[in-house]
Amino acid sequence: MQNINSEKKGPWYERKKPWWQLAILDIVLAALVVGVFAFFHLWLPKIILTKNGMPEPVYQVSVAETPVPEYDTEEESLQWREKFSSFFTADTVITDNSYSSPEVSVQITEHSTEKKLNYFVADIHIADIENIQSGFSAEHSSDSPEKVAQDNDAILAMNGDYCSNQREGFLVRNGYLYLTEQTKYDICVLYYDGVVETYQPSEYTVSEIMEKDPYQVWKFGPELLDKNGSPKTVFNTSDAILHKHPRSGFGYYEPGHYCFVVVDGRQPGYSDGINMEDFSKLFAELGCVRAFNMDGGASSSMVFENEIVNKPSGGGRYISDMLVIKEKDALKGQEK
Amino acid sequence: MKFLKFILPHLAVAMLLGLVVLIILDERNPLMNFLTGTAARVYMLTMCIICITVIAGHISEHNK
Repeated sequence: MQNINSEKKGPWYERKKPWWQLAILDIVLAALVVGVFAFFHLWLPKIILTKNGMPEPVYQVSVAETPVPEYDTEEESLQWREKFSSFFTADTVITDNSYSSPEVSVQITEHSTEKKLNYFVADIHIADIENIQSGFSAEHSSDSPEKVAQDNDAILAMNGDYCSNQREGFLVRNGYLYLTEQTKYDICVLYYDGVVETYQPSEYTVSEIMEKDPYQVWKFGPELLDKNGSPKTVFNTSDAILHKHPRSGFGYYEPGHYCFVVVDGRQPGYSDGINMEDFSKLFAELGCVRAFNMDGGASSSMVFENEIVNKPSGGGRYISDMLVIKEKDALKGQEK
Repeated sequence: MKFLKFILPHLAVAMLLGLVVLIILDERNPLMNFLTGTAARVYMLTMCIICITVIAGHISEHNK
């Protein structure tokens, strides 16, 4: 009897407790520990990218010389302007789902299939390589897609590869080199001449790519079409990613002509999402010769004229970077 | 000291459970760097230190 009384009088952690109380304590502690981890992993920036001026990489060791394009971009621009003249207009014309100006043409179409699949395709023609850029969250490490698009004067924007989450890999944005490590993931390279190539890890070295003046290098993947532009059935990614999910993808037809595709998912009755194989077929059906899978899930978002176009799953999430279509030198606002 | 003796083993168990969660998340989406990011390295280092402390304490008590 004396022992029991003395046990009850001691601090709570010295008293004997039933096993289920200890189990609850462990589970609560585990949840707390994972919560703290999530705060540091997801909220604190690994690479701080800012909009104004060129972003400064945190990882100074990986920073190399800024590549300088070796060919005449003005000549290329003139060619695209002539080739796609039927898509451009003398004045800026904006409708609910299209935008055209002397140097940019965007046409957004919504598609619904009987398989509970809803997706958006943005057909893009540009007159200059600088009409397509990587846009970054301006104030924080991540922000809402609408805010990132607005901060970057975007006509059209689609989420990118969530590059702020990368501390290794091969990362080039708007012609600036940030990271130079080769990894086991596929990459997508947009060169200054407007050509897009996708590579599996065995198909490139960082130095080979750097010699060809990359303008953007995205890492997420996998690549969706083979070198003949045919759909793939085997992908360089984990099995969990292959199933039906909301997805974002970047497609390439020819220099100056690209497309953004955003597939909604995880919303029963509206859209279930798409698996990787069908996503690959979708780009082949669109006529693309190269295509690359970007970050998906709740990140999948398309913004047109500062309004979100699709219905991101779970209401969407804050993102760090987007593929942005904009007027060169951001003259759009002045023309309006 | 008594509180530490009580809480450290539970913290070790909790962190190990957390690591299992991170391994599953990493399997599902390796590009999120759940196991290779800076936070994960700090997490694993902390967990190792706690586990070593707990085990060392247990061994020393057992040898008394």
